[in-house]
Amino acid sequence: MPHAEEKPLLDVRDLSVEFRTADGRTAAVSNANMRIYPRQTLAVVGESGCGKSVTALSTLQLIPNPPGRITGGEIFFGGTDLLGYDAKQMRSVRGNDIAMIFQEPMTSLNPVYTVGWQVLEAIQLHRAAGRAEAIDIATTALREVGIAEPRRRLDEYPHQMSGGMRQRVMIAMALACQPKLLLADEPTTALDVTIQAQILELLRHLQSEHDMSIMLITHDLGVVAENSDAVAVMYAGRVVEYGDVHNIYNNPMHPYTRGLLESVPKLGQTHDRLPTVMNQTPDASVLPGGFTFTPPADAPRDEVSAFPILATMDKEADTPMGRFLTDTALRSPNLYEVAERHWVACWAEDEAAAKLRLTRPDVPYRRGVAVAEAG
Amino acid sequence: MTTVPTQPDLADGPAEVVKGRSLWHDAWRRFRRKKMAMISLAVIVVYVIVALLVATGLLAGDWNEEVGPRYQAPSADHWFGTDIFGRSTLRMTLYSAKTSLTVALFASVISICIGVPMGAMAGYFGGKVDEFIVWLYSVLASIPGLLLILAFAFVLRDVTVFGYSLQGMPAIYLALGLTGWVYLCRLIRGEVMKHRSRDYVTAARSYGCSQKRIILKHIVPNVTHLILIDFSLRFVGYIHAEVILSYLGLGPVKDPSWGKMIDAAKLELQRGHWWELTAATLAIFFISVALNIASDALRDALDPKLKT
Amino acid sequence: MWAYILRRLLYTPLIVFGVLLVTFVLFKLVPGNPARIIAGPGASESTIKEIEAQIGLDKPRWINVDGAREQGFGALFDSQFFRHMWDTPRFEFGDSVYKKKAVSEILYKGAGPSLKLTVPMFIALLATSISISLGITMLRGTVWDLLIVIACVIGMSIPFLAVILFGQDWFAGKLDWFPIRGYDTGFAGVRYYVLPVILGVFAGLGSDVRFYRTVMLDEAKADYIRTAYAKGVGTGRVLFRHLLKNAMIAVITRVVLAIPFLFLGSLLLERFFSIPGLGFLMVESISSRDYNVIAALTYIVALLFIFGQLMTDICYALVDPRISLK
Repeated sequence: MPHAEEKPLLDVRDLSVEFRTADGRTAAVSNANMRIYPRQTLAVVGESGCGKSVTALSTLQLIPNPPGRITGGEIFFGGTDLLGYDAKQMRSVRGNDIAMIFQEPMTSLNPVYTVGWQVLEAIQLHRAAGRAEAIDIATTALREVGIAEPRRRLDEYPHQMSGGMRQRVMIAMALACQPKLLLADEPTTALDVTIQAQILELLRHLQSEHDMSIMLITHDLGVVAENSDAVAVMYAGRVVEYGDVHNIYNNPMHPYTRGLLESVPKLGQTHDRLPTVMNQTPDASVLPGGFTFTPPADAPRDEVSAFPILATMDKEADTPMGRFLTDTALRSPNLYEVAERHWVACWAEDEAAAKLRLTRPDVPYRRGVAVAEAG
Repeated sequence: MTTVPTQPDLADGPAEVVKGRSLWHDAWRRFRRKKMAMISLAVIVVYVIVALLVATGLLAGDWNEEVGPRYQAPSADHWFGTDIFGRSTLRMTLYSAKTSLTVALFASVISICIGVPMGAMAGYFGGKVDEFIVWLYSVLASIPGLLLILAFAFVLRDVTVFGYSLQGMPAIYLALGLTGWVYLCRLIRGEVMKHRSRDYVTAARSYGCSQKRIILKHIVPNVTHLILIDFSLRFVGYIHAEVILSYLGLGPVKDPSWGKMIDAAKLELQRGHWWELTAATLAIFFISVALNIASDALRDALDPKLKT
Repeated sequence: MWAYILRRLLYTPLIVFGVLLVTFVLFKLVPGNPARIIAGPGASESTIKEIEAQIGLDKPRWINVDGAREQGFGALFDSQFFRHMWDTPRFEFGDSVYKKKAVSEILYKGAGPSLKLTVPMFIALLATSISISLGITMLRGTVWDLLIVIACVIGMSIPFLAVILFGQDWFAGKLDWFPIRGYDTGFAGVRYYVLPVILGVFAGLGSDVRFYRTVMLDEAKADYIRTAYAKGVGTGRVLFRHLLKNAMIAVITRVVLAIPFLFLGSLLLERFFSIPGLGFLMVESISSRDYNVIAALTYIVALLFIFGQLMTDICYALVDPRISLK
C-alpha cells in the first residue's frame, strides 16, 4: 500500500454535537469518528437528520450556536485541532484551507450582490490580491468550472442564472483559494438529474487537478459508488458502518447499511415493492432508552441482536411516550474492526463481536491502489 | 466559536408525532405549553370579566359618586386616590375598562368585516375588482391614519342615521373601524392570491365547487389564523388610539375612559397628583403587554412553519 | 427596471386624485357651513350670504348645470368640487377661517419648527433601532435577546401620551435637566428640542426594534449568510455587508410607514412642548374647526406619504436586482 504512511488530512475523533430544543437536549452527533486522506473522497451517507451535515458544519465551526454546541471530541486538520482555534484563526481556515458548498444553490448566493462581487470577496479575504488580479483569479475559477464567457458572468446577479450554473459558481467560489479540503453538503440534491452528473464529474475533475480531498455528503448511494474511496454510514447521529467503498458495497455488515443498499433500485431486477429501510426516520430527540433499530423482517435473527442502535441520553427528556430518566440511558455501541478497512457498530458483549478489535476507523487513501490493481 | 445562524440539519427531520388532531387543537396545545402566554390569557380574561361586570351594572356603577375631598392621595380607602370632583379613581379605572374594551372590540369587528371580504375579493377575483380595491386602500393608506381617524370622528359626530345621532361612542368606533381595515385588507389580499393558485383550489374548481364555496370553505379557513393574530394586535392599537382621540377632545362623551383620565391628568401631574395618570397608564399597560405576548404566542402556535 | 419605475410614476396621480376626492368629501362637503363660523355668532343671514359668495360656497357642489346653461360649457366646472380639485394641487388652500390668513402661509411657517423636531427624531430612531436589532442578531437565543424583547413589549405598551406626560414632568420638571417647554429660532432653540426628541425615540423604539429584529433574524437564517461565513467572512462584515443590504427592503418599507407616525408623534410632542409646528397647528385647527387648514394639512401629509412610497418603490428597484425582471 503506497500511501499507507501518509497522515490523514482531516481526523474527526469522537465528535459529539448537541442541540438544545424546546423539548430538551438532542444529540445530533454522538462519538463520530472519520478520517480523510489527501486526495481521498469520503462519502458520508445517511438520511436527512442523521447528523451528516452537522458533522461537516462542525468542522468549520458553523454550527448555529445556540442552539447547537460541540460537546466533545477533536477535529484535527493537518495535525492541529480546529476546535481549539479562536474565531480569527477559524476565519483564516474557512474558504482558504477548507471550503464548503451547500445543497441549495438557489439560496446559497447572496441575491443582492453580483456573482463577481461574491467570488472576489472570497479571494480578497484570503489573498493579498489587487482588484485586477482578483478579477483574473475569479475569471479563471469560473472558466475552470465550465462557465462560458466568465468575464461577463461576473457582472450578473444570481437570479439571472440557473440552479446548475449557480452551483458551478458556488464551486468556483469555494475553489478560488485552492483549499485542501472541500466539504460538499449534498451538492447535487436540488439539481436536475442530468445536471447532477455534470456537477459530480466536475468535482472529480477538479479534485485531480487541485489535489484536493472531498467530504461528499449525500443520501444518494448511486453517487457514492463511483465518486468515493471510503464511506461512513451515519444513523441517528452515529457512524454505524465505516470502510472502504468496496467493502461497504460488497459486504455490508450492519443491517441499516444493508437496508440502505437494498432500497436502491437496480437495473435488470424487478421489484413488486422497493424494500424500505424503516418506517420512519427517528427524531434523535425522541429516542428513549432502549429504542432499537428495527431491521427488515428478513434479516437473520442473530444479526438483529448484535447490531442494536441505542441512544445515549445524558439527561431526562420528554418524549411522546413519556418522560425518560437518565437510568434508562444506554451507551452507544462502539465501532469494531470486522475486516481490513471495514468497521461496524456493534456490541462487544456479543460473542461474535467480542473477538473483534476496537479501533478508530481509518481507510487510507486507496484510489491509486485501485488504479494499480485495475492496471 | 462563531455563531452562525443556520437551520440545523435536524430541523427538517422530525416526524409528525401527533396525528389526527385538528390544527386548532394542536395550536391550543402549543399555546398552553407557554407559561407567559397562559398568564397573559388570564390577564385578558380578568379585563373582560371586569368589563362585563361593569356592563351589567354590578361593578363601578357608582363611579360618578363623590366619595371624598378632591385630589386625595391614594389611601387604604381609595387605592388610587380621588380626582378633581372627589370621585374614586379606582372606580373610574374599572369602569373605563368597559368603555375602552367596547371601543376596541367594535372598531376591530368593523375593520375585520370590511378588510377581510375586500381583501378576499381583490385577491381571488383579481382584474378590475382588484384594481379598484387596491386603489381605494392605497388612497386611504396615503392619508396618515391619525388624520383620517380625526376627520371621520369629526364628521361622524355631526351625522345622524335614521334619526340616531352618531355622536359619542359610535363615532369613535366607526372612525377607527372605517379607517383601520386597510392593512388587514392588504394582508388578506396577498395571502388569498397565494392560495388561489394552490393545487387544492384548482382541485376544488375541477370538481365543480362554486366560487362562493371556494372562497368561504376553502380559502378563508386558511387565512383565519392571520385574522386572529391581526385582531389581537389591532385591539391594542385601538386602545391606544382612544387615548389620542380623547386627548384631542374626540373621545367618549359621557362615560369615563382611560384616554379621558390621562387627558384630565395632563395638568395635574405638575401639582403632584400622579395617581389618576398612573392608574389609567397601568390599566392600558397591562392589557397591552398581555395582548402583545398572547398574539406572539398565537403566531408561534398557529404558524404551520414553526411546527415542531 | 425603468418600465417598472415609469409605471409607478404614472400610478401616482391616480392616488393623488383619490386623496383630493376624500379631502373634499370629508372637509368641504360634510362639515356644514364655514361661513357661519367666519361670520361669528349672531351675524345676519345677508352677511353669511356675502361670505359664502366670497369663499365660493354659493356655487353648486359637484357640477354647475345652471351656469353651463347660461354661460356655456366651460362654466359647467365652476363648482366647489372642481375648484377644490384645481386649487389644491397648486397649493392654494384658501384662508384660515380662524386666523384670517392664507393657509399656505401658515403652513410654510409651521414646516420649519416641525422638521427641526421630526428629522432628528427620525434619524435617531432609525439609527438606534437598527443598531440594536443588528446587535441582537449576534446575541440570538441568549438572555440579552430575551431582555430586549421584553423591554420592547414594555415600551410599546405605555401609551404615548403617558410617556410624554411622565417624561416631561420627570426630566424637565423634577430633575430640571431640560426646559419644560418653549421655542426659539437658531442655535438657541436646540435645547428645547432635546427632550421631545428623546421621548419620541423612546416611544418608537419598542415596535421598531421588535420589527427589525424579526426581519434580521429571518434574514440571518438564510443560506447565503452561511455561505458567507463558510468563505471566512467575519461577523461584522456578514452583518453589515451581507445581511443589512438584504434586510434593507423591509427597513425601507418600515421607514415609509413611519412617516405618519412621525406626524402623530410631532402632533402630540409639539403640543406639549409648545413647538409652533404643523402638529401644533393641527391640534389648534381641530379645536377651532378650521377645516381649510385641516384639509390642507391632510393633503400635504398624504402627498409626502405618496412621494415617500414612490421613493420606496424606486429604492426597491435599486436595492433588489430581482425586481427589474418583474
